Amino acid sequence: MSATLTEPRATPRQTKVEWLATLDDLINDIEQWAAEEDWQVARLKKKTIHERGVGTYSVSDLRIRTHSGILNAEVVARDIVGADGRVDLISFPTMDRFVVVRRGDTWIVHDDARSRHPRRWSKKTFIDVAEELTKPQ
Amino acid sequence: MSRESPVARLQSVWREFLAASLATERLRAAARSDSSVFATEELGPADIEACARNLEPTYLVRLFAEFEAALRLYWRDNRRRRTWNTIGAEALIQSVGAYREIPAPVVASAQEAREFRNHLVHQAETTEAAAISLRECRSRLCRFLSSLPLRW
Repeated sequence: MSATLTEPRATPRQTKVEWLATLDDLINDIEQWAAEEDWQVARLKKKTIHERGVGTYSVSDLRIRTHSGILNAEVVARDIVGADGRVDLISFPTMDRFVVVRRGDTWIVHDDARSRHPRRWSKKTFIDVAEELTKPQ
Repeated sequence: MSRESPVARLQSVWREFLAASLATERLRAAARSDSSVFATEELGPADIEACARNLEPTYLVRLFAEFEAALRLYWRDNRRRRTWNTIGAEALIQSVGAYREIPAPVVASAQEAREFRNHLVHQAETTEAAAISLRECRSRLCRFLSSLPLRW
């Protein structure tokens, strides 16, 4: 007789711990890469997010001042339809947006209109996107 | 098309509802002291009561229709889907939610608004749906629309 083995479903606590660690890595990437470009980065006041299946947690969005403008990195949620997490990169004041979504262990970056191929998260992708979002109109 | 346009239409429906509520209340108050306010014999106090009772459900159906129309236009013009006018509302919300990677609770709350709208329209055919106020419905649908691109 054969048995079907399935991965045990993660508990909300495990999901939260794993999600916060993943977010930490992403935020550290942004802070480090921005610093290497001599851009200023500030952590904004913590916000509380409550998600079913994850629980309640607090995170800080980032405000990034490039040489040509300002953008925010805003944590949206872990519980996303069709993905495993989402952080938005939003420019000010245009509110143009790139969406950073997590699929499995990989972060992928889309333009808001999904008119171009998605790109894998990397320093080059982040710098390109930040420059595009803050370039003078 | 811009994201602001459907959001503005939802806000406009909301303001119409507020105007209609005010007008209905004024007419009810006037009718209590003067039945001659009804300009025609076809209308009576019971009609005004029914109007007041059904005002919010009526505007909720309209609000949802504006929301659904915006999603269909997005599905047609941005996603270039030929199913834009045949896909069911439930599948449309789910598909746009998946394509736009919208938080699951935002998608679920739009689906609840759809279920309540279905309940209002086809009461005899559907099971009970949780009642949602027009204000709450507007908030849920606008939140979903905010995940659409700024322009498409």
